[in-house]
Amino acid sequence: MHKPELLESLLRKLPMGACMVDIEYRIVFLNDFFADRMDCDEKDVLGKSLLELFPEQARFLKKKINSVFILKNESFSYWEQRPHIFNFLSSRPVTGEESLMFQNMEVLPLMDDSNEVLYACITIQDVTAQASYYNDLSKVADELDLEHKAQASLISKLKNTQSQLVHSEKMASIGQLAAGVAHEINSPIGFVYSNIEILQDYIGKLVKITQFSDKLIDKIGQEIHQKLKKDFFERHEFDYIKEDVVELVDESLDGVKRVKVIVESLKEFSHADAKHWAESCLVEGIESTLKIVSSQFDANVTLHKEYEEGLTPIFCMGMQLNQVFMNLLVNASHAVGDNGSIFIKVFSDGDYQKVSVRDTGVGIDASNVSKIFDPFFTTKPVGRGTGLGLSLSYNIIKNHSGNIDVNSVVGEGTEFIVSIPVKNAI
Amino acid sequence: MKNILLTEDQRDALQEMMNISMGQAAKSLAQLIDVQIILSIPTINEASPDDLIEILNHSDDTWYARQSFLGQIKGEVLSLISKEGCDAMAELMDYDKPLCDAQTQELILELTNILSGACLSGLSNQLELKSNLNMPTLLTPSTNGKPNYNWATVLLVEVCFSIESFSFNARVVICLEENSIVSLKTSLDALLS
Repeated sequence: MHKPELLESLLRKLPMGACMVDIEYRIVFLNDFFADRMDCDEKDVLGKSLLELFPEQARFLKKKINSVFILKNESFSYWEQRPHIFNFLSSRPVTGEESLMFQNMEVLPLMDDSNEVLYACITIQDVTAQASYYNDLSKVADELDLEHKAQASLISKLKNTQSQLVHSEKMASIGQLAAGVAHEINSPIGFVYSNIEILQDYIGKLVKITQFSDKLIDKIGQEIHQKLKKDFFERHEFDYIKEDVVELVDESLDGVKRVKVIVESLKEFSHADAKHWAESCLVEGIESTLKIVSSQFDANVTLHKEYEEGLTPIFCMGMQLNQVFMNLLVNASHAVGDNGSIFIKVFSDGDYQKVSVRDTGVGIDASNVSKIFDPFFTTKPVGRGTGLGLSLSYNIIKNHSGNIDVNSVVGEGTEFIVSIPVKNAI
Repeated sequence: MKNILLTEDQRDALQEMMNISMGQAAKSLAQLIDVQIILSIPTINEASPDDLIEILNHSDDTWYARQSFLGQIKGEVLSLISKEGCDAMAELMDYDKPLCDAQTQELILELTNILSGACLSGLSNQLELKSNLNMPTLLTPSTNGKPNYNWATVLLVEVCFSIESFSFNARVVICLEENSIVSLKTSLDALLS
């Protein structure tokens, strides 16, 4: 069994490449597998330098072979890092998609009895099938990963849209509620107002009538009548009443007038259909919004308004723009706190009409400026802000093909500029 | 239960032998990469699975690789190679820079093979216990939490390599499985008697 010929024949027939080289890289043995892949006869290459036969990999092979001769240890190469050391054709020329053979290499030292390395034996394992399979798998894994990421981003987008929708639905129903309340209050407040107006007139007349009778009694009455009258008037504090009653009625009328104005601006603010496109004036929108939010401004906050004259109404969704103005004004009032100024400017600039809301508040940190339009981004304390106001505003402005820009300096204040195109296509 | 603990004499003998053979290995290495290599004195310890987990507790500044060996002694060699200094090492070993991922992997595996080979042949030559290294592979951190090893004790023979001229270090740990420890003890006893 230990006949050298048999062993050599086994080595020649091994299903892997084997090539022995000496310290000068000259080929001293080549088995069938190796010769076959090199497409040559063993005798043609014996004695030739392996490095010259494979010049592209000469540097690498030299390094590997040297290390084996010096360290007397095996050296390895794996297909994943270096797939095609020798330019052998694929072992699957018909059904395979790859053109070159994937190879694992092991270089073994062959030592003599004195433990010196005589030859380095290069063995090549054909791992084309495994490598292709592995590559296919990782391709599929990559695709899956990509799909997974796409889905994740889609889901988060959906979530954002959903919450914006919920918020805008909420705002819309608050608007409808306000409109309903306004409508209900409108008629009673109407007749209360006109009744008080008439009452004001009547009271004037009644006072005059009393004064006339007073004088008449003084003139033609006897002393007893005059005394009775004086006593009666004093008992009922007539002098005081005739002054106070006028004041009371005036005050009531004033109060009812204010209620009327609020109801009207509520009605205006919450046009029944939020998505209603119509010709609308930005200044009017600002004013009606101010009526709603000015109660939130601290007494020490001064409001400066600068409206360009002769601005034409523009085609827009007025109710939605009012929501934007409200968000900006509320934010400004939160930013200035209990002392500061808010500047509102409405002006035209080329094809745009612009609304600038500037405050002298705390300003926005530079690192946050890019995030302020993100849904759920808020720096306000819990319960004060939803983080949706500006994101919603951004979408509303984008729906108008407009822009919303922000300039902010920490400690000095913030300016938001809303630009709406004058000629808006639906 | 096999007696796998080394006696003090056995331990001393092993350490001394490793020290001699590692000196020879360092010479060959210096010949190959043309740089002065500093070796620590080999340490020999028994380790429990927890100790091994501690060794393989991945840190971001280290590459991890393993290489198994078979023969009269069996086990695995672990190599922990500092990321720092790898570029300089690549230059010494004639790699083109900058290294791409595949080349970095190749460098780590090559270093692992060279260092493990040096250490293991140091051990096996002295004790005349034959063993052969298999292909080295990179060791990626386990994502499944704590690995579940089915052994109780391994013998760790550890050597640290560093380089004089720049900051680089590698830690090579030969882990011998239980049956091999018994063979090792027999060989040590034969030498000691």
